[in-house]
Amino acid sequence: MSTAEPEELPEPQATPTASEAMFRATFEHASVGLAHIGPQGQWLNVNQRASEIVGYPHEELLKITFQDITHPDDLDLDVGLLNEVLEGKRETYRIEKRYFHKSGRIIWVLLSVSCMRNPDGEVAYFISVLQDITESKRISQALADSETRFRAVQETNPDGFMMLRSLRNESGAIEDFIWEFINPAAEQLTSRAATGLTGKRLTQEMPETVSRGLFDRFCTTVETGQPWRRELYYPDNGHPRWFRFTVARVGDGFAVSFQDVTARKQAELRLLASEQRQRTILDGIVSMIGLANPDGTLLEINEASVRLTGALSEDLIGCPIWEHPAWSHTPALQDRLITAFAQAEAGSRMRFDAEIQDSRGRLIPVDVQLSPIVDETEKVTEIVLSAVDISERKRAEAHREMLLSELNHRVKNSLATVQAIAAHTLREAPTMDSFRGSFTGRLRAIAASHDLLVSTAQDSADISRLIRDQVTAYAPAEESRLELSGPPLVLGPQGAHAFGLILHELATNASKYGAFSNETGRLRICWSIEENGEQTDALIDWIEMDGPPVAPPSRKGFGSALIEQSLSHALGGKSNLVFDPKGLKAQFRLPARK
Amino acid sequence: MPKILLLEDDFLIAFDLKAQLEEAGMDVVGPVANNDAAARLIEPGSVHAAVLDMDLGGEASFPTAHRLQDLGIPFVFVSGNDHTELPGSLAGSSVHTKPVHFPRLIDQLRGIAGSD
Repeated sequence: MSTAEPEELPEPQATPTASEAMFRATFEHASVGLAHIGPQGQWLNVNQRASEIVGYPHEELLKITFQDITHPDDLDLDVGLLNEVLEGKRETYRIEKRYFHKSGRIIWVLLSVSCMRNPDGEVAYFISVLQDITESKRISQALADSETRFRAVQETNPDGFMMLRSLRNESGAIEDFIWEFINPAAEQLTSRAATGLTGKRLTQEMPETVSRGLFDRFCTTVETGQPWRRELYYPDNGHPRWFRFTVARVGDGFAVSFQDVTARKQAELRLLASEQRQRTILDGIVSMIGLANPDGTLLEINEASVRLTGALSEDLIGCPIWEHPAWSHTPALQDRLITAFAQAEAGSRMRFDAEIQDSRGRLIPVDVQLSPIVDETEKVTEIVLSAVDISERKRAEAHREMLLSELNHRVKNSLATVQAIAAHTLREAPTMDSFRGSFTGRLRAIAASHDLLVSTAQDSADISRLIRDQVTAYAPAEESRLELSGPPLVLGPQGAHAFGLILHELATNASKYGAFSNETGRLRICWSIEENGEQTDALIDWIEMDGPPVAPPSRKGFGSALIEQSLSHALGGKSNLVFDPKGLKAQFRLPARK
Repeated sequence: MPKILLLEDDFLIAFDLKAQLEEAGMDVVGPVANNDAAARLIEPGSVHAAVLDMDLGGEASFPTAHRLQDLGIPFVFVSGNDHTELPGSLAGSSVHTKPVHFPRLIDQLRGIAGSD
């Protein structure tokens, strides 16, 4: 402990002199409080300033002790030290202590105490120097409080917070930044211990701030005072993160607050991606999709609409949809659309088929839908317009109708054929049993030719198969009694039907009266091809041998008419029938497939 | 005896029609299977009426119908197709669908042929 105030006090009992008067004046008017205190604590002598500090007039002060106006919390300390001086253990002490001002408020005083001793060493009186430090005490307390609050805030702040001060070179330019403060959240976000960073240089600890241009931005903020905010991406080994930085100048340095916005950013990116996907889907559809005001003004339109019309989307947006080239080609369609919009504006969902025109002037059949979008008050705010290309559907419908019509036609014709066969057969049948046999035989013959025709893709019939299908059922089991020969030859549908029935009539006739009606008769069918310029004809010979003797029929019926006339009627063919007594001979000519 | 021209390409149907009309006491001209063959048989006064199959294996019988119309000879169509559209000039012609209801066809032919 050193002596506090290097003041030399005169002997108290000395005779007043000029120098004493000067000393008195000095004591009285000193800018610090000065007092002589008795060993028991009574005020002996007090200057003006000391009287001001504690608020007691001089006379009042001399009637009390310092203990009377000392704050109880500081009394023990003060008295303890005083006693040490009294006991000779120390000569001086200096403390900050509180007094009660006369007004009752607490004042802080820096008290320096020394003493004058008698020749025997007893303390004669204490010399106290009082300096009012209430104001500086208040300021430092406020600072301490502020610091405490700041630390408390930063301890609990979920955002990272750091303060760095500038490190400048001789010419004053910023060379680097030094960490001064880093909060726990920042430690966690940067995965760096605060103790490891405080006092360290930014460019050494986080060199990426330079490469990413952050360092320059920090410098700008410090030099200009301009704060900035920015979201930055950190592709941190498989755990990409987004941070939002806010930077502001503090003194000759800056404070940076940052937060992890990865979750929000990813949600935003997902939303963006999903919007892009939707956009891609909408644009990929070969249909128009647009968003319009209830008055028909286009707000948005998809890529397909733009392609369809060959117009730029900027030219289309802002115009009534019915002035869109796709719709304006026919006034009736424009009117239809205007009416539909009016109804959609009233809240109705509209749907109708129409034909829109593409940029090349082609008409495309579309399924048009107008869907009103309503707000919470049921007011129609926007209308979604879609026009889906239904060309394929229309084509399929037309194809189906064609098939149905064709089927209907064929069924009707088949029934007409059955009707005709029934009528022909009925005219000649002597009994019901005879009718049944002939009728079903003829129907089967037609069915067999039909089966053969549909079994091939080309709707054609190979002649040897046609002959087998129609004749074999009536021929005897011995192979030698039926002989077929001829080159590959194919008949068209009309030829196959007509000739199939002829074969059936000839075969049933042979089994009743001809070559197949005895044990020895034989049938030879041979054919050849004859080219006549454009046309290819099939020449077919039917030759029966070794059967019973043949005589021309007494009456020519439907069977004979069919054999002799059906090829010439519509096919441009020919039949020739010879009733040779040795066996029936027939020759046919009909068009063949090339 | 009314003379009736028969234009029908299907042999079975044509010859049945012929038989049915003959049984009803009519004189059948044909049957023929195409417009060219029909044209050779049509002359003023050669027939009193005609039965025309509308679809002659790919070609329509409308040319024959027009020719008959020009000559003022009445005719009826038979068709396997309910929905075949007649050209405007032939609108209103009667069409009997196959299979044909013969009594009705014969009644109508008697009505339009005006036997003499």
